[in-house]
Amino acid sequence: MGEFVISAGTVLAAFAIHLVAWRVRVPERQTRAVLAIFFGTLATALLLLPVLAASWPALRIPVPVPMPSYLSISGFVTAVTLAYMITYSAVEVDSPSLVMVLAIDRAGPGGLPESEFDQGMSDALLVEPRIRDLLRDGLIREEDGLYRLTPKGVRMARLFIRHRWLLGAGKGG
Amino acid sequence: MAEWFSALSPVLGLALNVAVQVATFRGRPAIGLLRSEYLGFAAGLAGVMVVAGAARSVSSGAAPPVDAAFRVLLSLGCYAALGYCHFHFVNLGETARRIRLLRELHEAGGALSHGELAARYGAGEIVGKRIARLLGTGQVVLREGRYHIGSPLVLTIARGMVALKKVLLKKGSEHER
Repeated sequence: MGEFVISAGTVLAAFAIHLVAWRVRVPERQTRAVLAIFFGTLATALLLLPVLAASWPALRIPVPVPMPSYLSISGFVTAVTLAYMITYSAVEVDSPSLVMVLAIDRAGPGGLPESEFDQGMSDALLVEPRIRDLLRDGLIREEDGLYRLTPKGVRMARLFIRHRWLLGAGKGG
Repeated sequence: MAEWFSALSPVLGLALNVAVQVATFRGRPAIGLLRSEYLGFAAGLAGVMVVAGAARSVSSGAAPPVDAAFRVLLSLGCYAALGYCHFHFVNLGETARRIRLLRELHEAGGALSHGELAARYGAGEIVGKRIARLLGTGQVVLREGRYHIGSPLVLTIARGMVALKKVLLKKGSEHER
């Protein structure tokens, strides 16, 4: 039971720190800050685990704390952190599909005419902000009027190209 | 030993999930990406339950039943989060604009001008692919030249994301000031 309580408590504490930090100021590189908060809270929890186990017998974690307990807590918090990071990317950036569905819903029971649908869906809205994200995250750089992949960008592109090849799927997008 | 198996069961479940998803989609592409992901997730979940259950039975008597039950719950929660990550990793390759832009640059030898990049992947294709997916899954329907909401699932997700944006960022869209 102790591992479950510590794991859930760590995730809740990290989320509370994240909420408070965002109330004060939303950081420039949000995903990196989310990861720093969640993994920082996990590291603190793991360092405090022997103290918690010794001083709170109701947790029923043996002292010295066995390695599988550390592994279970680290595994759970890491998995939840990564899942939240992926979800957070949809908070940071507007998904075109969700924007479209909201536009159709706003049109009311009469529906949204096909002719009006494309209005406002421009490169400036859908493509350019994502190019700026790639520049900010160091995946591409601008040089002599060209966008160039950085080594980090090449690694990211290859990861997805190989995965899509493994699936036998097309380009996507 | 049983504790080690229990702690590692989510990773074993994820491996099974990935293997079944890839094999299913490659073997029968007609099944569709989404169904192959559901099948992979279900196979991994079954794997976690078998391994975590076996670990529990091996260690029965060593730990109170409530502790063993919480350990299984922790493994299932960890697997669910890993499965969610895998689901979204697959979907990033399918739908993410940033990944597609990186692919276009990679296929062009690593460099493109702004105009060349926009010509290869622009708003027209982005909107066209998404509306086809929304119509294909019945989330949106087209009647007499007008789009209507077909199923409330994606609309509910969209509203949830707007609510989360407002809580975290105090705005409902990245384009709001």
